[in-house]
Amino acid sequence: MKLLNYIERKSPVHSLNGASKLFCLLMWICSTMITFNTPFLLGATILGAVAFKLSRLKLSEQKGLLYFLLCFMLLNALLIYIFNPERGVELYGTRNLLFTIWGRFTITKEQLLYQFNVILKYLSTIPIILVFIGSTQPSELAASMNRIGIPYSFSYSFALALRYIPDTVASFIDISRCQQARGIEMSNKESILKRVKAAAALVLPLILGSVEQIEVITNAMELRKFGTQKRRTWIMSRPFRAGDYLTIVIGIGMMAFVIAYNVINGSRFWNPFI
Amino acid sequence: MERGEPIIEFRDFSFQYNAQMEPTLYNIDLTIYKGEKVLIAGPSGCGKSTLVNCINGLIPFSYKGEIKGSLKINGEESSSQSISRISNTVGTVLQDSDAQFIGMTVLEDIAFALENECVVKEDMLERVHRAAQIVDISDHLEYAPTDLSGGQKQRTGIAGILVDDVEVMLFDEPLANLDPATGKTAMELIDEVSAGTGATVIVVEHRIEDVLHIDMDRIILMEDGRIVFDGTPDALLSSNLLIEGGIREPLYITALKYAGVEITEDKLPHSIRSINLTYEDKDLVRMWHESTPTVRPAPKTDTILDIKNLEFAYEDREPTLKGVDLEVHRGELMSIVGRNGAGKSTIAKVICRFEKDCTGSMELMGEDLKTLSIKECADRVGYVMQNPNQMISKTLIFDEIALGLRMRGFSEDAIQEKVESVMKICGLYEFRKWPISALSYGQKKRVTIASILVLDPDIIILDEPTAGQDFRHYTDIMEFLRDINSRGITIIMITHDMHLMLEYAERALVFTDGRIIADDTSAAILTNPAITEKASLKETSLYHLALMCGIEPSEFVQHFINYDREVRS
Amino acid sequence: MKTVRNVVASAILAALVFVLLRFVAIPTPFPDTTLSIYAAVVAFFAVLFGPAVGFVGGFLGNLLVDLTAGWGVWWTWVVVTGLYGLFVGLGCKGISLEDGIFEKKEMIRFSIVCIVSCILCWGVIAPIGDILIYAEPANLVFIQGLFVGLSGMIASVIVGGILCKAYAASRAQSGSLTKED
Ligand SMILES: Nc1ncnc2c1ncn2[C@@H]1O[C@H](COP(=O)(O)OP(=O)(O)OP(=O)(O)O)[C@@H](O)[C@H]1O
Ligand SMILES: Nc1ncnc2c1ncn2[C@@H]1O[C@H](COP(=O)(O)OP(=O)(O)OP(=O)(O)O)[C@@H](O)[C@H]1O
Ligand SMILES: [Mg+2]
Ligand SMILES: [Mg+2]
Repeated sequence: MKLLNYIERKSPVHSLNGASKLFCLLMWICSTMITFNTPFLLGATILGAVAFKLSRLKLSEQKGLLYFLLCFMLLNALLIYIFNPERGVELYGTRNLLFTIWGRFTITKEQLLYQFNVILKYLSTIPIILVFIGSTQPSELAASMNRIGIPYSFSYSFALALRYIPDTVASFIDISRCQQARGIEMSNKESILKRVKAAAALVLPLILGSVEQIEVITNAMELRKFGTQKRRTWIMSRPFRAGDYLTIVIGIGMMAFVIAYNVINGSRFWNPFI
Repeated sequence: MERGEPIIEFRDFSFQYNAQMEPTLYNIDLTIYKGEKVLIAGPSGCGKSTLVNCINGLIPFSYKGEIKGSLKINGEESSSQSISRISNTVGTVLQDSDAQFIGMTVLEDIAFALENECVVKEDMLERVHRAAQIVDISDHLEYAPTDLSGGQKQRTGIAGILVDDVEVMLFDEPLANLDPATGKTAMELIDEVSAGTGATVIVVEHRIEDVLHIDMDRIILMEDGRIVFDGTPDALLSSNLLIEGGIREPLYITALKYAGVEITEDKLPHSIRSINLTYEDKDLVRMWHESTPTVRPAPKTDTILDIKNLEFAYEDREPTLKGVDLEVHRGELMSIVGRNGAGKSTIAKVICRFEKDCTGSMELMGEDLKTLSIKECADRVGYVMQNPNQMISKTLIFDEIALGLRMRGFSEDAIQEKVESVMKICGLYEFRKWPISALSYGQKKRVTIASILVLDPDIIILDEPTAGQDFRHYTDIMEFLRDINSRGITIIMITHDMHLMLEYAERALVFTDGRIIADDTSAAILTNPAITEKASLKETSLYHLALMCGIEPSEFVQHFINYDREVRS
Repeated sequence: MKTVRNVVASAILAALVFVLLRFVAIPTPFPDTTLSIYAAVVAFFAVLFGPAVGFVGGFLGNLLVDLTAGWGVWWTWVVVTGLYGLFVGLGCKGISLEDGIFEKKEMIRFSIVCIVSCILCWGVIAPIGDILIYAEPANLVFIQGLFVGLSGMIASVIVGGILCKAYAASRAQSGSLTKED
């Protein structure tokens, strides 16, 4: 099973160093997370689209994910509205009522803008995540994390997780089949309580098995000197090039803009109503 | 041979795991010299892996326990060093080749040790490529472990310790899951490497004949944590210690002994290629061959399992099974053999409904298997998986074996009785109160076999039933299988063990990339160079012995099997 | 994150959290709500390997899920999964499953710690984080928090408890193993 959907291509984005991409990604996600500056979010969304184009990835390759994104986005929007149709009013402090659907379900400019922002937050982050994952070799990730200052023990945990997720999935499948063969019914024929019991019976060996595995893997790693030095090198690391510095600058730029705006404007919200 | 200076020295060394009541190693006195090739053999659970872990530093640094006596590595007390210090000298390839594989790809895995030593990328690449060259895995450098065959994982493991140019290479059961030909090449590889680098080689293995394919300098025989023999292969083979120690002799040795040939060191019996037999010896063999024992006719009964044109592919992969036709007769005891990755385990999974979306027809006693759920199927066909850890779901041995029975609502006393009898058969009775986590690999494997046997289904499919087993438990298990087989339970064994195939399976199916290329008696198959070549099997040493004595090989092998059965039963 | 063992444990925990969040859904009596038991595993690992492993494993696992699922990275929830591991690990310091000890006393302590941590993480930190960062409606996020927190609580106390018990049982008391016939 393929975990991170990396797609081998020749493209300017693929040729970038994973570290710079990762740094930019983090900056990107954080800045779009913090701000409610609509023009900025619009800009980020467009920039993301450009990056996607540059990376030569195809929308068709990401169909499943994008479909899911759409559903989730709409669901979230709906929930927000149902739970608080006047959230926008609270946030922006003004109230321009357009019309009332029924009872408390009003439509105000503020709510529209607020929810538009929320949607923009999705549209501006998801594509860039897709680009990052699609254009960065999983093997390079850990090296990159270490490169941007994350401790190597942490980075290597990440790499190991990527390494062992497919195994975990495989052994979970095997275990579940073995247990079914032993007589544990998973099918919906069974009562709920039985199913809970059954599922627990599946998870138990998976987890206890993994705990045993930890010992063996630890041995294998210690026998090959992991963790004996303050630092470690990475065979998958790549040199920095001009493009990488540009990428980093973009990241810093976005973060700087957001912070500056919040300070000057005194609020995270771009507010056209006053 | 003249000996270099000692590199590993055990002096009156004893070790006891904290969890154990008695020591696992008793008063070990052992010296291994630079450049030596040493084979460590012994029954399962006798402490081989424990000894290995003492040498590579896991004991005492990660397994806690009580040590008495001294162990010097490179002239320095091991307990005063650190694992990383020791692993500069000693490189280990673990018993479990999946755990050995740390990196996300072959390239990263080989480089792992170097990365940890902060070698700069350029030298790293250069050294990695050199190591990859040596073990001939260069054109798979970007492969992930899931896409590699058992043999390729093994090679990666070896390369991973070679990059560090270590002085000692430790292998814990390197052949356990390799097909015969791959095992042969693996041993040759180990030989080349040690010749090239002058490294000391220590191999732990049950398959002595396969290891002796290369010239080992010494064999060390262990039993219950003690060393019972330490000398040349020739000396060992011309004694009876192997049999007494419950370990399998090479087949040609057994045959010669049957024929009444006395085996002495000066005949260089350590390999079928080296052994020189006198005219008298060869006459003895011929005479023995003439003495025709009763040939048991293979009972041809009605078909129990009928598979037609079976095709199967794992999702988004090219087909793994490409049109398999096979008939299994009731009460048969047959084997499925073939190279790593040929699809043997896959067909077992398909038959047991573990893998559902297959085309073609599968009928069990006229009943369409494809309509059954996994559980319903399991009441008829029991499947013992290749990897024990994937089957074990309980923490105590008794519960594990009893689980299937409990699920089928047997009474506790019935369970008690059934489980204990199975435990006795599988040599687990004395461990019945132990947690499974304290068992050796071989012991775990026996637990899983027991947990299926206890359900007694119509057909039992065993995937590598005897991998990592010593001869005694091998014989116990196989005799038990034959026993229940004689009571009408059909048995299919997937195996890489040519001995097993010869001695126990009347009939053998040979798999090569998803197809059956031969369906014949084991003797016929293992004396047919064309097939053995194609399916990366290994023709038995009996074949060479027969040629040596000018006897028609397949007849000779058949004769040996019949005679062997006579003797054993 | 000192020892190699901790690095490996965190990675395996992350892998487990990932698999459980993505593939395993235990049905509950409530209509179409599933009891996601990743919280139980985080708690178990936190007890067994300590707060550091609990935090890193939980964090990485949830991060990987968010990166591969379509909803973007929800830092509040990602961090909270880690924090849960951290809190349980801190709260259960001194319980040593390695020695095979997990009796009533430990069980009660474990349960209380889990419950408190759940309330803290999903009842307080996550929702407030969402309000502050994403400016989501308060009632919405608190309801969400309530659901996850409750199911996490149930899972941790029951499944987590079973796990600890089973593991402790599998640890042989030292010097106890001997062959008997
Ligand atoms: N970590 C451990 N804790 C306690 N006992 C152990 C541990 N590992 C092994 N043992 C015990 O020590 C004995 C020797 O185990 P070891 O793995 O060395 O056997 P082995 O010779 O390698 O067997 P095999 O050929 O099946 O691998 C066994 O009885 C086993 O139960
Ligand atoms: N779960 C899986 N998903 C995808 N491919 C798989 C899976 N399991 C096995 N394969 C592939 O199917 C092929 C056959 O695998 P299988 O395990 O049947 O070989 P085998 O004959 O049992 O080999 P061995 O003798 O090493 O056990 C191999 O190429 C393997 O890579
Ligand atoms: Mg062993
Ligand atoms: Mg197999």
